[in-house]
Amino acid sequence: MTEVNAIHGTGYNPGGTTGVNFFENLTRDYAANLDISDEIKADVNYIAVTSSASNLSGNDIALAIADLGTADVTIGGTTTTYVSYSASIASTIGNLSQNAQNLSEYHQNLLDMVSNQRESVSGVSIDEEMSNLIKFQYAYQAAARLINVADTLMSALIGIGR
Amino acid sequence: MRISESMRYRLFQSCINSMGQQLTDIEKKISTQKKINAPSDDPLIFARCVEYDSDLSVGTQFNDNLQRLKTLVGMYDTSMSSIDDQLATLGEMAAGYDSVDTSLRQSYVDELQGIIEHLVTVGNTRLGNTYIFGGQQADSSPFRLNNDYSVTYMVSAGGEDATNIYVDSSQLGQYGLSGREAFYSTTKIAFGNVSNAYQGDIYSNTGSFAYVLNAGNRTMYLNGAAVNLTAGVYTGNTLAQEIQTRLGADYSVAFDSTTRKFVITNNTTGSVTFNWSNAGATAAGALGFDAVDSVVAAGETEMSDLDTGRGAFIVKIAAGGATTGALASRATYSYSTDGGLTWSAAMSVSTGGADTTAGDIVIDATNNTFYRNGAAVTLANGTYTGAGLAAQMQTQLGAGYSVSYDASTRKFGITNNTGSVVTFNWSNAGATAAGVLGFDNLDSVISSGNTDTGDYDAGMFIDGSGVPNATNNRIKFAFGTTDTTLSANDTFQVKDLSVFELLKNFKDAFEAGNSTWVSKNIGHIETARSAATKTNAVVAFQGTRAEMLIENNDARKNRIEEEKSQLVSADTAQLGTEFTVLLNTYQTLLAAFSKMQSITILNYLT
Repeated sequence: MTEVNAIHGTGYNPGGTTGVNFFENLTRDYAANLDISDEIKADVNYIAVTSSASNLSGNDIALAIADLGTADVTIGGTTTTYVSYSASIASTIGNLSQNAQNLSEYHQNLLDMVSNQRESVSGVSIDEEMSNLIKFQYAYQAAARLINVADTLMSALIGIGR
Repeated sequence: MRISESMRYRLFQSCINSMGQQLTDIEKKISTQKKINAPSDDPLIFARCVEYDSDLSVGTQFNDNLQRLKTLVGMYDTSMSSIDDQLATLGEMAAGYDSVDTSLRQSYVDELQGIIEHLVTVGNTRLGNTYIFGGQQADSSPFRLNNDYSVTYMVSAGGEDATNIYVDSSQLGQYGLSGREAFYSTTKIAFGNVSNAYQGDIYSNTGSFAYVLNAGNRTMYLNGAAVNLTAGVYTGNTLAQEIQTRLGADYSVAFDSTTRKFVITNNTTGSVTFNWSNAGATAAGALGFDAVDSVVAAGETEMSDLDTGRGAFIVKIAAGGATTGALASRATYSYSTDGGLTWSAAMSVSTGGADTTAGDIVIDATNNTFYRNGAAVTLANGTYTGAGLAAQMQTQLGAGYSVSYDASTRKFGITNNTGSVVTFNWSNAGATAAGVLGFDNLDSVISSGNTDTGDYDAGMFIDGSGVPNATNNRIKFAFGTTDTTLSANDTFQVKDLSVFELLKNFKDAFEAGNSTWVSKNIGHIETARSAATKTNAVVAFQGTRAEMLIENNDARKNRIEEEKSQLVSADTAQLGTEFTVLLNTYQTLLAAFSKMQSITILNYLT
């Protein structure tokens, strides 16, 4: 945006005016507020395409703006082109997102492991309960049987006493 | 490990979730036919794809430009053929003019008017909203037909060239044809006006137009430092060489003879600035550069904004009279270099030395020296006829040379009879007589028995000067010796050939019944036709080039797309199989899960 304005500002439009910005000047939230300047919105004849005030039919400014696509620009202290820069942004975002996914997966696994451990201590296992049930059932049956035997013995003893 | 129920439940759940996620992923890949749908799928490949996409979109723009150029070329081709056809018709009419019945001559005039009207229509052809011959001023008609059938070229000098467009990355060029290229030629011609009373011969060395550099117009500025070109008389090509010599090996300089513009290529590894706006850059005007600084990146070129070789002269007879005889009694003329706005003082007309009785070649201190084998030969000052000057040259050269003057060609010939090779150093800065004797500034090496013949007519230049300068640009103008007298206000022109002006002149000549004019100027029709043919060839070349670039572009686009598809395209067959396997597992898992959910403790009791 700044680069386009810097070039466009030096050009002359068909009316011979110079110093008009192509984009609105912004100081923050660039991507959100990116907009064409008011002059150009009002009249496309404000678009400046020539660098010479004496020859208003040239198109060198338009070509210079087209050149920006492949020109070296310094962004954040690095010399790059717009294409490489946007590719690197995409790549960085991809990397960050991938890292976040990996981390989230890793932590999910950790969580699962710990909660499995907890569950193994505190949870209810139907197999164990079943085996306990059977165990206690048999124990109960055994105990009942013991009482039964004791009962029979007691009955026999009482019979003898009579 | 103790496996609790909720553990088992959660394990199933997470398995089902992740499998569901995988299925969604595959579904997305199948539906988009791409295996990479988000930057996070593979950041590196995604970044490369962004670059490929940019290449592809730029390529599409180039292709749009090229397709338009192709259409334009087709239109130019038709237009140029039309110009050539019309000129051929004119040629036939002019050739047969003498033998044509007077009553038919009016129909010739009518036909010529039709031709002019037709060619103005051709010149104002539009493609969409663009006038194809308008150059950079493509939104208004470039040619205006006036009432007298003269045609005015409406495009400003700076806007004449076809618009620069990118046809490939870093390949910027003027593709297309300007109105000037189509209807004007860089060949200069000399002609007398149809209404002139004088119907005799005129002579001009129109092909010898030169760039003359002197102390006042030889400095250019490169990166803020002055570069001084050597003062001298140059053709376009030799001036290009001189610029290259002064700029050094890091630059290459060429002269484009069809547009008469200089093209400087920056072969250094960095950007350079030509400071044309510097007040000291006096060469800007002579070389055709606007007073605007140019920053030229490594490998890029800087081309003149204007054609400075367009200089035209109008000669007007100030006082009528004879063309020959003593200078004092001859007709006088004045000339204008700005289309008739300002006129020079009157001076005697010249015959280029052809007048055998009274001389009109003035030799003085400014133009009396030439060089032979590096040694100066000085002519005696005086006013000479051609033959007289030849005799004087022979005297000064001494034995072993014979010098002749041919009144029909107005050229000198120096024959070397010395028995050894001799060099005439016409390029020597001190060889001030070269211009008046009609020799180009190129050394001639003449072996014994051979003759060094003048390159152009001998005599004084159009401004009466004996040496070429920035005003006369080495152009001479002379009259015949056996012709009718000149009348006051007769006018003559030395200028670039214009198709419209030629047609208008012929129309006027037909109308006036001036068959002398017709027969004297018939040769210019061929010149115009050959210029049209040449321009057509240039256009055809552009067409071929556009086709080639379109093919290249397509091939490259295909390659990029292929590479991109290899990087991102999904293998649907493989994905399909994966999908089926996953789906089966998923369904099995779901079945098992639902079964597990229905298991209660009671199941164990049965």
